[in-house]
Amino acid sequence: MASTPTHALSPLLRKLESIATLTDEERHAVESLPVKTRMLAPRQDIVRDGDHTSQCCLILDGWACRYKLTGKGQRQIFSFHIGGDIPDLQSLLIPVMDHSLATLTSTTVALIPHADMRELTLRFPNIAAALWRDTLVDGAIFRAWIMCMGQRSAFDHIAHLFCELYLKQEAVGLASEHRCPLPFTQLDLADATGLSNVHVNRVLQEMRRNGLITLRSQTLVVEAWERLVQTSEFDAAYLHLQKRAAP
Amino acid sequence: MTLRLQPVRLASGNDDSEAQLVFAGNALVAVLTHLAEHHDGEAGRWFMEAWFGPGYVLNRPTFASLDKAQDWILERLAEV
Repeated sequence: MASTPTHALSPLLRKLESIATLTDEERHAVESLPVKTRMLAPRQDIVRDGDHTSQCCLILDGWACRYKLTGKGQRQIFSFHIGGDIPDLQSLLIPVMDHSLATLTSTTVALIPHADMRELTLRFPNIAAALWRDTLVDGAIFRAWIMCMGQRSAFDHIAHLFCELYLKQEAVGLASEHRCPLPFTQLDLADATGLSNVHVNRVLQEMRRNGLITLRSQTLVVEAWERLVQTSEFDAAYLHLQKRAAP
Repeated sequence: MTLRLQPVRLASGNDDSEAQLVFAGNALVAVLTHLAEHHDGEAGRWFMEAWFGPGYVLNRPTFASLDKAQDWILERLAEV
């Protein structure tokens, strides 16, 4: 049976096309990026705090996170990333890393030299705008995380994060029917929410007991989406998932 | 210094309801909660639910036994 050939960079195209409409020439330019593909083991640093970088890391498949350690080795996770994300895109303009980026699962990445990325964005302002927009959405997600960290209960915080992670995956075709992969540990969740492992466990237990979610074999099933949205005051506007109207 | 323990029940609404108040003299320094079955790898351990002693404890530890918890608390109080 003939299969449609999938380009290695299709996760990036899928992400860009979830944001903007690309011309054939723009698609071709993205597909022609001279990338190096790497398979990485789980829990492996991709770039470290303080590194000087000359390439961007596009996640093709798998999960990664941005994080930073305190002097005592306590980890704060800043964000989770899936296929199509370029979590260190900022390195294009700020080449010294101010945090680390690591895999959470087995992950395939494409390394894109800064020089080629820069040329792509100079030749195609539409792509530059889409990438810029992506970093702005990144900022919006950080604001939502700070809001959760500072002003929401542990329960609402985790509920909010589950809504976000589901919708982010749904937007790029990695999830549907309120069911999505969640391939990280409870400890990762604790480090991302600033909660103790014990508190995370209590919240998950309560969510299960209330029939809001099931979480099994690294799959999250939201059994009561509306209630989860309501309790955490989740408003998806900050994810800006709709395409920007063409100028 | 010796510590005094007083068992209490927490109105926690979850399975973690068995706890101990830990006093140093007349002052409450900590609340330790016994972790219930659903805590998987940490079930049966004692969680530092609250700390009123000196300094801040951001990452609240769990302990294998009440003795271990008291050792930690005494060390912490001796540092002052």
